[in-house]
Amino acid sequence: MSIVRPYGDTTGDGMVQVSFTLPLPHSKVAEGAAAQLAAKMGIDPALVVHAKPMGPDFTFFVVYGRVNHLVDTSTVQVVERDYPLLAPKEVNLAIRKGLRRRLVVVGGCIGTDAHTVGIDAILNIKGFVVNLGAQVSVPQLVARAREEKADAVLVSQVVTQRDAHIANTKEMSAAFRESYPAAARPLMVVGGPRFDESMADELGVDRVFARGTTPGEVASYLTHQLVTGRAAVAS
Amino acid sequence: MPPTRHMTGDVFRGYLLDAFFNLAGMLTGQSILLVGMMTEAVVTPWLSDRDLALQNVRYVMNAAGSLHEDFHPSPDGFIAQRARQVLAESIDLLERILAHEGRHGLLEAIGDGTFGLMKRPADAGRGLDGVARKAPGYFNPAIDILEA
Repeated sequence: MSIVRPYGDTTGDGMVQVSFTLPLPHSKVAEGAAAQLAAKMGIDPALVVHAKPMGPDFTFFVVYGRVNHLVDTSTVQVVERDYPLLAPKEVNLAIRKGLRRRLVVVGGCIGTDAHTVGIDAILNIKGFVVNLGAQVSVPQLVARAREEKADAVLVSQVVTQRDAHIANTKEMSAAFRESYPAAARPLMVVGGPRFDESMADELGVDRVFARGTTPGEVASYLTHQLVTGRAAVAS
Repeated sequence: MPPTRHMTGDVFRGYLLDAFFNLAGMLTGQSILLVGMMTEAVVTPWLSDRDLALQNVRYVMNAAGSLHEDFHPSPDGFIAQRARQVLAESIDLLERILAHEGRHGLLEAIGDGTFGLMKRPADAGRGLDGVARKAPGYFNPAIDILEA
């Protein structure tokens, strides 16, 4: 167990910086309101170091101060990697030996999302990959997954406007659960920079990958879930 | 603005990167600048992000707005070489577009992923159900003014 507080300049000083906008014209009252908000966030004393009017009705603040909260690292919950990280050659070997055919992965960006850079990089894995690209509708994705007899479906969501990534993912997972019997359903994996890895159950998918995920991690996960892990359970 | 993939989530770094792109715009005398937001790839830009982004542009314009007058890259330097390379690649791209057979060369090129590897086939995509055929009496004064 380890108790920590933020580090600014010296151990234990607890210093943090925050910035925010209040819908108030710039005035002494507005600065006082910023200090009050900071105090309610646990910043005490709060130094309003910058206040800038943005048009007649808004003010932008930068606040520095000492936060009185502590963090206990033993109570932090994260999703740790629960599969071995494999090199591309090991992935190929495992699939060839364990599956005796190519692994079929169907992927794309669903909804109105056109940010395919991430999914393109992730899907650049060896094997049989069908990349549907940008702005794929959920029915299209399901139809293609059925047609290709997909082992796994990979969906990327970058756009987060009005929580589109959450809504789209839930729609996708519901559609696959409706279209497939539970035992035959492809593995559902979703990824994007703003996802929380602990949300898999809530989203109805098998795995969520957050920012900084490498193609190797996804390939290793798929291999573990669909080839080596499954074989281990069977034997 | 820099391509989204360069925005890491470190908004402070992103703000600096945006300033460098703004500076490049000033150095090359651009009259239109696409303004980058420090929270691009993080959240839909907030009011304060937009304000900060405009401050960034104004600062660079005030500090270096006329720098393009003095900016003469060395003929064999990195910038000139890079410019030649990009120009050559652009000509190659135009030739690849021209090489598309059929009457709709450009649309076919868009369809098969010639641009940024993004495939947008004519028979795929979204939004067709929101498109209506123009009625015989269709009248749009804005279009008439623009086309005059």
